[in-house]
Amino acid sequence: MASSDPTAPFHLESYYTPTLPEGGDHLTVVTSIEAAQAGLVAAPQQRVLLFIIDKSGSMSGNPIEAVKQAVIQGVNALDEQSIFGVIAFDETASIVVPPRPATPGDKTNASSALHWLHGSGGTAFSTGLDLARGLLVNYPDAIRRAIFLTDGNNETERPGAFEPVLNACVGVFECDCWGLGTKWTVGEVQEVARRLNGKASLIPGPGEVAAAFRAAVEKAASKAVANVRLRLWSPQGTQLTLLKQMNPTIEDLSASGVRISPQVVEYPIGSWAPGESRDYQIDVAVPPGGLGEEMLAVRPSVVYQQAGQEQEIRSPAGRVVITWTTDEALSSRINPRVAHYTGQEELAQAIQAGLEARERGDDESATRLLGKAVRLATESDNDDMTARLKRVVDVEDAASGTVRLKRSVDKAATMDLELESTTTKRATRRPVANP
Amino acid sequence: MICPKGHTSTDPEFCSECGTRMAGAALAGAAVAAPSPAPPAATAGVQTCPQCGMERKPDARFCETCRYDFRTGLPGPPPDAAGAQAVAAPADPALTPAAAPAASAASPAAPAGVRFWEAVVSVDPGLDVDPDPALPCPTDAPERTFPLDSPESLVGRRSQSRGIFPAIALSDPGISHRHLMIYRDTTSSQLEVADLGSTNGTFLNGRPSPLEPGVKTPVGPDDRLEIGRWTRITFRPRP
Repeated sequence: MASSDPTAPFHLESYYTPTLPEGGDHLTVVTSIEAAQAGLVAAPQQRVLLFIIDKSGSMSGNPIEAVKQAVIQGVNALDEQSIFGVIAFDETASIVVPPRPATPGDKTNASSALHWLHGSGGTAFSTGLDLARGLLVNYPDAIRRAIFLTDGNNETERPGAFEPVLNACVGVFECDCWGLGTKWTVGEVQEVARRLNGKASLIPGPGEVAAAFRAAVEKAASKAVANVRLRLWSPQGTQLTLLKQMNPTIEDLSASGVRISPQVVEYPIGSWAPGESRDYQIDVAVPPGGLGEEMLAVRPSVVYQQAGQEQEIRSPAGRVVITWTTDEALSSRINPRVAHYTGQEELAQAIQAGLEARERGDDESATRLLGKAVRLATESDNDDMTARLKRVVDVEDAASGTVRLKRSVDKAATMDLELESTTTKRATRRPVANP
Repeated sequence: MICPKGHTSTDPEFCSECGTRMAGAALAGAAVAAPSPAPPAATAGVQTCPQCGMERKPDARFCETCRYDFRTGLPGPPPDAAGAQAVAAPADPALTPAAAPAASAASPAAPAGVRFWEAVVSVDPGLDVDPDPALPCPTDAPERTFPLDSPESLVGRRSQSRGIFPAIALSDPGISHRHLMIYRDTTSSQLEVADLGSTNGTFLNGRPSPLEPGVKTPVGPDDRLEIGRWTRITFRPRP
């Protein structure tokens, strides 16, 4: 950290085992990217925030009233430079509040417009998303985000409509998604969030909507730079075999890479707030080098647009330089940060497989897998995950992973665990002593 | 600027083509690079196979006698079985005539200026002769191309838990984690393939019997391998 340029808007640091065994031809790297607290962008950028609200029949009554109040509170928290809008959808979508600056007058107008909103009709996610896209394309230079809320399955969707709409939204705006209650499908909501660089979460009841929206508005307001890309340069003959975000959540980005030149691939990594940091795992296959030879295997950099100009930020600490040795004590050492995320991924897989096994009635596998998850969560001090697991299983001995499935489980607890299974604990910042 | 491997580099520190540290560039960790580039062959030359005691051929991955794997430390089959196979293979009438045309087709092609190769991986639903509804063939999977510039390219299925990261990582469920190896001779650019004892075997150019595990077979332009449930790998020269 000391070697970094304190004025650089982004700092990159890579963690890996720099020595490969003789003939070694692959390595795994964890690259941390951290945005600067100050000076991330020269001039503040315009922000647009849309609320996309499910107004289907099941929302009528308490839920829709709670959501209205939450939207009003969220809008009131915006500063006057922000632009906001509200869209409501059932089988079709309509504009409740067209995009406008968050001035005191327009905030009042918005709350009276929301009074007319009531729940009726079916649920087709694509209508709300498509309308949001149509509004947001008009702000090409702004940081565009949306907050999406539903309480049901995407059941009135026209066949084949959803996928093309979602594809069209990618790159136009980012979207955090919420499911209210438990009568919605995790996979459907997660898909929207995953593709649109956001997070899917569960809101147990109408009472908690306001708090969730307040947090989301704060998050949207904190973003300072949009459409950031992670650029990876690698020499001839090497192959990037995998790129995954590992923290805050596990997201496989391998398929989203865009090849810029034979040696350069770029991956979109969304919008960033000052001080935000994320970790990425890069797997790379290299042609084995001679003993003692030194090679730059990957050079990551962060690329974004500022005032119409492309900025590329490189850090010396981000470079991945490897060598080959016959000393097995050196080459067999696993970098602690790489090991940490390998463990967190194993944890996520154990939870997902365990919940799936319980769903099909295979209690034996579910007990074993969720027990393994409890053990891994405890070992990695992932206390949030341990707490979530304890709502689904009774822990007898965390160290050995001995658990019993709870006989009656709150459905919300299960859905919450599934949604959060890919949320990882951040690798510790302090250096870990090598064994 | 010219790098130690002869590329023109635009970067003074690491070659902008191959990533090798440029001569004279300050070494970050001098201790790491301290071992002078002593001929690696010399160290490797004195190495003997821990399984049968045979001297290791320089840079060879497998022991010539017992097929012990120097890289992974996995033993080859018992020496007597390996010997029996080696003797039996050429005598097998089904294999000998089939192997000959492949070798003759490939060998003259390689010296004729083919420097670099690539492997084209495609999904052929026609190969999935016994479809399993639980494992649907991904008929819409795009064709993928892998350069074969390394001396060895592993083909297989990735395994995080077993630490297997093939250069050509495929998701076909019928492919073994370590399925086959594609070798490229760095001087002649001749390609060879060897099955690594895969569960479901490697089939060359539609032949009914799979390749003998551990035996290198030369391949050339338009030679095809069929592996797993539906995967086809075609070799072709890269301009």
